[in-house]
This record gives sequence, structure tokens and C-alpha cells, in this order.
Amino acid sequence: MFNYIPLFRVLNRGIALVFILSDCVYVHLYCKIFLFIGGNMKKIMSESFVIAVCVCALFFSGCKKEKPGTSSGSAKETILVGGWPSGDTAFKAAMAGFNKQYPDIDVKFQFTDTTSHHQALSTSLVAGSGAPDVAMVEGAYIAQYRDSTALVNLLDAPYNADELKNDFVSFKWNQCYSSDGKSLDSIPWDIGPCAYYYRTDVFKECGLPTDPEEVAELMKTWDGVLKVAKAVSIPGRRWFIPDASYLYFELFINRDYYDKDLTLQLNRPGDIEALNAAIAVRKNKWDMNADMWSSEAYAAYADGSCASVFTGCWFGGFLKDDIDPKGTGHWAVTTLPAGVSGSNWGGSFLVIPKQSKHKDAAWKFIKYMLATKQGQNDMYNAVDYFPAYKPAWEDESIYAKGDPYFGGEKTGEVYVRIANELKPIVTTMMDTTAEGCIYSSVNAGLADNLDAAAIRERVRSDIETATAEIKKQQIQILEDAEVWKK
Amino acid sequence: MNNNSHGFLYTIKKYKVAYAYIAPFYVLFAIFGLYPIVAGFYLGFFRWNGLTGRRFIGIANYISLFTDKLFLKALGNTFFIGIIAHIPILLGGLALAYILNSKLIKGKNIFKTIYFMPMVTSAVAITIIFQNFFGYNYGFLNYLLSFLGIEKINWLGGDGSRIKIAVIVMFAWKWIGWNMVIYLAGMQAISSDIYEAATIDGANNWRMFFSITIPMLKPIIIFTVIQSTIGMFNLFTEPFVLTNSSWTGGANNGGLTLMMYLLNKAPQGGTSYGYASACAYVITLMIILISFFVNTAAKEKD
Repeated sequence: MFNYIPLFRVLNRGIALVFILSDCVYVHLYCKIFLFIGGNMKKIMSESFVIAVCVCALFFSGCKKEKPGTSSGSAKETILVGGWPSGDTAFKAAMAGFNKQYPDIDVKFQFTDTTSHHQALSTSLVAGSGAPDVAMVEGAYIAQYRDSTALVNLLDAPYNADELKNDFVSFKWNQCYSSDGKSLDSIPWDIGPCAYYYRTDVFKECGLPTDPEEVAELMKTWDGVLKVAKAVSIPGRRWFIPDASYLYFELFINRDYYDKDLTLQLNRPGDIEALNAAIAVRKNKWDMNADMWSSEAYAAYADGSCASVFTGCWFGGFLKDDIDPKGTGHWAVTTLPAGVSGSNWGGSFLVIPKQSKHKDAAWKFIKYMLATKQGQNDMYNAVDYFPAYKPAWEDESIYAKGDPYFGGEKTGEVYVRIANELKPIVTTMMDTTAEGCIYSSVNAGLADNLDAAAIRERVRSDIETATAEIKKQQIQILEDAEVWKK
Repeated sequence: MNNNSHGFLYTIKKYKVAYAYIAPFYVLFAIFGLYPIVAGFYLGFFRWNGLTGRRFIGIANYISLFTDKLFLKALGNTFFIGIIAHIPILLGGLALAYILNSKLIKGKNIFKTIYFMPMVTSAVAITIIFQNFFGYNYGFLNYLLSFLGIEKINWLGGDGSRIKIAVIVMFAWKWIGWNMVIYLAGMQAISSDIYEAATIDGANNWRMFFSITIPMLKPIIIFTVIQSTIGMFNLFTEPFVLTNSSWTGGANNGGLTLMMYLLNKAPQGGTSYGYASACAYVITLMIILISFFVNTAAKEKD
């Protein structure tokens, strides 16, 4: 059959060029007209032409670079790796070791924001061309990709990924299998063991213990949590947590919303107590009543107005780089309060698209980065992505070392302890929508002064309504895989 | 075919040079316009996740769409936000254009640029500014209100009813400048002879505004109403960022707009491409109907 793909590629490039040319002229004209700079038409047109030519030159020089592995006279193989930022920082930190082991493989990076990356990836998988040789996939998207027929099944020879099975955190590895269990097209990179981050300076000021063990002991029950909330809060000036709903969300932070039959699992031990605690916190104004990712909350973490937050361990990297770079010694980490244990939030995967022409090199890259101690730990040191590869944790020089940012606390040990307790979950396409519902429905319930049981019912009906269509889609995928029993 | 030489192909052959000249537009339109339109309609009858097999389900997508509480809620929100916001958009745009068109103001170009800026600024950047403006604990608006002795208001949270105010303010703020530029261009096209004649007849400024400017601007006003109605249906970034990327549109779905609802189904939240196509078709149909009604209503009065 005639191969249309190269033709489309050329066509695509040609069309893009036409658009770029006309855009240059238009943008230049608009600038002239709207900014009222003036000048005669001839001059504007000639200027536009010069700009257009410059852009063309840039465009074509860009084209040349894009094609990996075609440079003549070199035996080197080039692979393209795609993902979202901080992933590239991680890979670059581990490249020295990789280059040493595989001097014949050149690696190029193509990184953009998380949403655009996944959109571009799914488009190029459907189109059959344009995908990178190795692509990152975020934890929330894995349910969409694990049944894809456009990705390489890594259980086949020569990859034989099953050999690596026992080295990875088992619940994360199990998420990679397709619905029928016959193929596995992704390898887990990192996990996000969930922990409780708190400001030691605030706790000290309020006469509370600051040692992680003691804090965990004090907050083992909801009564203890409320005691701490009361002690640290000054209504209107300082708050215990960003939003009361997170006390309830803590029970779902593992994203285990559904069971195997796709039934919503809302009733669980401690949920009513958690909602009662949330009601109490809201009533006493011990929470900011703001989203934990809002700019208000970020400001409050940094200046000590918000004393604590429940989140995944990658939050440590957020604190150091973005939220509170000057906060060395102010923060500490301990296990989640109120007896919630073994929870994970997020974590990424790597995949190889079937369209890749450098599958072997891509596999070598994945294997080095994700399934060697050195690869994983170089990346962990750079960006705090906690390895899903268990042997990496044995490196005492990293995981038993005190972290100066957290006042010398051995955070690696805390994370490893939580990671060892992680519980298996069922991952579905509805998870992200359900996660959004918990925050908004609990808040709506609190605003309407509902009691705990009524809030729970509201969360249930809101999730059912919002996920109805996506659930039908999920069922169809399971039916196609012949694993749906109903 | 050879004898009866009026076939389609013959016409093309006869005028091949002319067709070659107009071809670029039609080729581009076929690829980027026609194909998605047809494919989208076709997809609306399937359940498909974009990667694996698709299944024909007839009009089931449309049925579940119209029975979905959330879709109706999103529809209601979108219309509420759009209709309320159109009051300041139309009146404010007209007033600004009139002021800039009069001879009272100096530095018109600076004002024009300032008013037009929101339209060309990144919606995400604007929204982050407004998020701080409407913030609960550290918000600028609540800070101002505290001087009047008003207690802090949770604009973006609470029971979800006040987030619409924030979205309306942002929506209006963005479109006023756009309307102003277009009205101004329209006003400048009105011949000064008419105004001179009216002045001689003894008409005052108000009279001239309502009896000359507005009627002469009518086609332009209709154009801007249709434009901002389309803008209303495409409202996404503002409520999405204001609710911190929550697909639910905040408490009680107060900020859920149609475009947020659609994108939650595919491609950003879920992967129900068939359902999202059906939803997109319903939205398109509404835009066409509204444009049609606005046009007819305007013609009837003439």
C-alpha cells in the first residue's frame, strides 16, 4: 500500500509555512495599526517581508534538527525523549552515567507542559507518526494508555519486561498491565508516598512537639488532629490546613475510588469521623477555605500562615524549588495523621510508541533510567521523584542521609517506610474527575451546613453524575478486553 | 461527457487557471475545516476513546447529553454569565467608543491600546491576577471591603454562587475593549455631514447619539453581539483557572461552563471523544440558532 505518512508530513510542513508567513505579515500589520506607530504601506510590507524571511530561515534550520538519526557519517543512534518539565532536569542529571554505558546513543529532549504533552502524544499515536521514541505518561493518564495498541508490548522479546517485575513496587507495576493482562506497555518511574508536611517553627511556638515521631503519635486520632488544629490556628491570621475538605480527601489520596466492578467505594472506616473533623475545622475557622494549589495557599505556606498540608512526597521538591526556597529548617515530614497509612499520590511512567524506529535504543534508555540504582538515584537527587524501583532505596548514602532543608530529618527513611506499606488500587479513567468532586462537593456541603452523612451522600451523587459518561467509556474498554463480567 | 460538455470536470478543466488560483483556500479549508466538521458529526454517533475500538451507539450520546443534570447546569451557567455580561459589554463598549470619538480626549491612541490589551493578553495570566483580586484571605477586593466594615466574602468558594460574578467581571473586562475598537471604527465611518445637518436642525448631543450614531452602528452592534456570544460559548480558561483546574466548576458547579463540560469529557479530562463530539455539535447548533435569531430580530425592526 502507498505510504501516505511522508506525504502528510510534507503537506503539514508546507501548510504550517504558509500560516507562519501570513501570520508574520498580519502580526506586523496589526502591530503597526493598533500601536499606531505609523509609516507608509510600502515600508510596512518590506519590513514584513524581511521578518518573514528570517522566520523561514529559522523554520528550516529547525526542520533539520528535528530528524533524529539521519546525520550521515556517524554511527550514533539518536532517540527523542518527550515529557513535561522537571522530567528533563531529571534525565539530564542521569545522562552522564547513561552516556558512559551507551556511548553510541544520543538523546534529544522535547519537553512541554503536562496537558499539551499528553494531547500531542495521543494525537500522534492515533496519526501513526510524530511521537517521540520514549514518552512520559503521568499517573492520572495511565488508565487511558495501558490498553493502547499503539504502544510497544514490553512483555515480548527482546524486552522481556517481566524479568524486572519483582524490582518494582508491585501496585505500581500492576497498573501497567492492559485490562486483559496480556500486555504491558509502560514502566513505572516514580511513586508519591503521601506524608504530612508541617511547620516546625509554628508548632514550637504553640507549645506542640516538633519531632516527627511525636507529632505522628499526637495526631494518631481525629481528636489529636483537632487538638493540633486548635492549638496552631488564630482565626483570620493563621490556619491549620488550606481547606477543611482535605481532612476527608486524605482517605482518598490513594486514588482508590473504585473497585474491580467499577463501584464507587465511598464508605470506608473513619469517613464519618473525618467529615465531622472537617465540619469542626470549618466552623472554628481553622482552615483557610482555599485550594491547596491556589496562590493564596502558596503564600501562606511560605510565611507560616498555613501550618501544615497533606500531600505526596514530591511536595518536598515543590517546597525547596518553588513555594518556600528560603524555608530551610522550617519544615518537617511525618506519616499521615489519623491512622491513614500506605497511600500514594501520582507518579509517572515511560512508554515506547510502536511507530518508533529506534525501539532498542529506547528500551536501553528506559532500562538504564528506571531499572538501575544509579539512573533512578541520580534523578531522585535532582528532582525528588521517589523511585518505584525498590533496589534504589538500598543506597544508604542517599536514603539514610539527613535532609538539611527539613532540619536534618532523614526524609528518605520516612518515604521508604510509607512506600513499603503501599496498598494496591484499581486505576480508572474516572479518578481525576472524582478527585475534583471531593473538594467541591465537601465544600458545598459545608457551606450548606449539612451533617457528615449528608455530605457523604452529596459527594456520592456528585461523583456519579460527573463521571457517568466516562464510566461508560471505561466499561467499553473493559468489554473490548473481554474482562467485563456484567 | 464529451458531447454534453457541461459536466463538473469539464468546468474545472475549462477554468483551470482560475480554479488553481482559488485552490489554496479550498484545500486548506477541506483539511482544517470541512474534514473536522464531517468527522466530528460522524464521531458523535460512536463511543470511542481515541485509541482502541469504536462502537456505534446511534443517538445515545445525544440522549445522555440532554438528560445529564450537569450539562443543563453548565448550559444555565453559560447563559447566565453571557447574558449578564453583555450589559456592560454593550453599554461600556459604546460609551468608551463615544468618548474616544468625541473631541474631548487627548492621547486617544494610548487609551485605545489600554482598552484593547485584555483581548490580546494571555487568559491564564489575567486569571491569575483576578484570582488574587477575588481571593478569600488575601484578596484585594476583600481588603477594600474591609474598610467599609464588610466581612470577608468567599468569592471563589462558598456555596458556588459568587464565582459567577468573578467570571462575569473577567468576561466583560475582556470584551469591552474589543467592542470599543469596532464601534469606534464604525463611528468614524459615519459621515460628519449627517451630524452637521442635525446640528443645523437644532439636535443636541443625546439626540444625535440615539437617532444617528446607534442606528448607523446597528449592523456593527449585531456583529459584535454574535462575536461575544461565540466568546460566551467558548468560555473556558477563566472559570477553569479560577477553580484551580477543577473539572467540576467549584462548589455546586457554580462556575461550570459548557466548554469546561465538553473538555472534561475529551480530550483533557476523560477520553469520551464520541460524546464530546456530540456535545460540540449541540453547542455549534446553539451558536447558529442564536446568530440567526439576532439577525432576524434586527431585520424585523427595520
